[in-house]
Amino acid sequence: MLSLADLPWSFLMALVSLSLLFYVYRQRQDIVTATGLTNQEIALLALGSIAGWAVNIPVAILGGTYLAVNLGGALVPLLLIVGWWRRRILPRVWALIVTAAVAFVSWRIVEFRPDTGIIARFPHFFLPVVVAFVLAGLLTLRNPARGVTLAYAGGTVGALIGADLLNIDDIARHFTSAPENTVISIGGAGVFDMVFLAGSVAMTLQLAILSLRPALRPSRAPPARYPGTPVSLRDSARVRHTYQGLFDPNPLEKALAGLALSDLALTRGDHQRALKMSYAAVRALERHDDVRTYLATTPHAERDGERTRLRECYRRHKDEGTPDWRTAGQANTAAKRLVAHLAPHARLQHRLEGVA
Amino acid sequence: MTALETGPWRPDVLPTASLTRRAVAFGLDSLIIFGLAWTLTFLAAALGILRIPDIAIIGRNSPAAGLLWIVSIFELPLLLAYFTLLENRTGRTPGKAIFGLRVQHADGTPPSLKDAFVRNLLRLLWVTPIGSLFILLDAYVLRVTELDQRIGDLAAGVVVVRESD
Repeated sequence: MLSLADLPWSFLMALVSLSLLFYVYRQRQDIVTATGLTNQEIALLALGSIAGWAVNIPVAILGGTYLAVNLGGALVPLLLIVGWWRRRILPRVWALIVTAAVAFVSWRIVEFRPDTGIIARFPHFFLPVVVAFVLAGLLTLRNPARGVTLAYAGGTVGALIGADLLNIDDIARHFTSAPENTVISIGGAGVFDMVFLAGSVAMTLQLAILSLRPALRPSRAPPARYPGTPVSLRDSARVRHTYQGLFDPNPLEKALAGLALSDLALTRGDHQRALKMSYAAVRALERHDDVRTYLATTPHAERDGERTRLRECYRRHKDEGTPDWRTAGQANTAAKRLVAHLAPHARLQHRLEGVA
Repeated sequence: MTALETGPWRPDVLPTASLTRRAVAFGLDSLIIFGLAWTLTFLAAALGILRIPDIAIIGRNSPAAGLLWIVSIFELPLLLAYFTLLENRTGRTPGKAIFGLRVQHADGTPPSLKDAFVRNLLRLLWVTPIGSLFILLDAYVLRVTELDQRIGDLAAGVVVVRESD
C-alpha cells in the first residue's frame, strides 16, 4: 500500500511552488510590485533553477572524482539573494536570524549516506520550510511583502549551511575516498534539492498568504479637469529596459514606454523621433476601449484641442521634416499631460520600473 | 491612416531575426562548443591535469566513454560561459556573426554581463528532461512577441536583430 513517504514530495512541492509564482506574476502584479522583485528576478526564480539543474560547475578535482556546485540548486539562488542584499529589499538582520534557525534545523535532520549523499527523510524535510516560513512571517507582520524575499533567503542559505557546509567533513571524506567517475555536487538535485525547496516553498507560502489579501484597486477616475499634473518619469532608461522585458504589455505600459523613448530621444537631440514617440504614447492609450468610451462620452475642449494639435503636429512633421526642439518639447509635455489624464480611465496597472 | 496608427505598436522598427536563422546560428555555435570541450579535455588529459577514466560499456572498458563522460561535465558550463561572455563583449558569437545576427537592447547597446547571463541561463532549459517542451514554448513565444523575443530575451530585456539584409 502506498504510504505518504512514498509520494514524490520534492516534485509536488516544486510544481506547486512554480505554479503559484506564475499565477502571482500574471494575476497579482500588485504583490510583485510590493515585494520589490524585478521581472528578471521573477524569471530566475521560476525558471533559473530548472535551467541550471543540469550544470555542475567543477570546483575541485581529485583523481577521477569531481567536487562541483550545481548552478540551479545553489548558484542561481545565491546570486539572487546577493542581489537583494545589495538592493536592500532583503531585511538584513532578520535574514541572518532566519538563516541561523533554518541552518540549525537542517543540520539536525540530515544524514550522510555514501551512496546517495546528504539526505533528509520524510517528513523531516518539511521542517526547514516551516521554520523559514513561520519565522519570516512573524518577523514581517508589519510589512508582509518583505517576508517573501526573507523566507527565500533564509530557507535557501540556511539549508545550504545546515545541510551541506556543516557536513563538509563528511563530504570531504567522501570526496577523497569516493570511487572513480563520481561527481559530488552541492545543490545537485536542482529543483528537487532541499537547498532550493526550503527557500522556494517558504517563499511560495508567503506569496500564498499575500494573495489572500484583496488586490489593490485602481484609483477612481479623477474629475475631468484639464490640464492636470503631467506624468513624471524618474528614469526613462529604466522604463525602456523593463518594457523590453514585458510579455504582452498593456496600453498603459505602451504609453509610459512611449513617453520614456520620447524623453531619451529629446536628450539625444532626435526631435523627429521624440515627436513620434510622444504621439505614439497617447495613441496607445486612446485605443483602449474604456478610454475611447470616456473620450466619446465626455467632451472637453482644452483636452481635445491638445489631442488634435499633437496629432496634426505629428502628421505635419512626418511629411515636412524634423521639428525644432521647442516643438518636440511641447509635444512631449502635452503627451505627458494627456497620458496622466487618460490613464486612470483605462483602469490598468503597470509593471515598469523608473516611473515616479 | 498611417502605419503608426494601424500597425502593431513597437518602440521602434527593428529588423529582428527569424527563428530559422537563429536556430541555424545556434547549431553552428553548438558545434564550436562541442569541439572546444573535446579539445580542452584532450589537452587537460595530455598535460596530466585530468585523468581519463575507463568506463565499462557492455562489459568492456572504454577510454572513449570516459572521455565523453568528462566532456559532458565541462560542456554545459563552457556553453554558458561562451555565450555569456561573447554576447556581453561584442553582442555576437561566431555563429551569430556568420549569419549576420546581433544581441542588443532596443537602443543598440550591448547586453550587460547580467543580461547576457540571464538570457543564456534560460537557454539551458532546452537540456532539461522536458527540454523539448521548452524549445516549443520558446518558438511559440518568439512568434507571438512584438520584438520576436524568446523567454530568455524577455527576461534579459534584449532583442536579436539582423545586421544586414
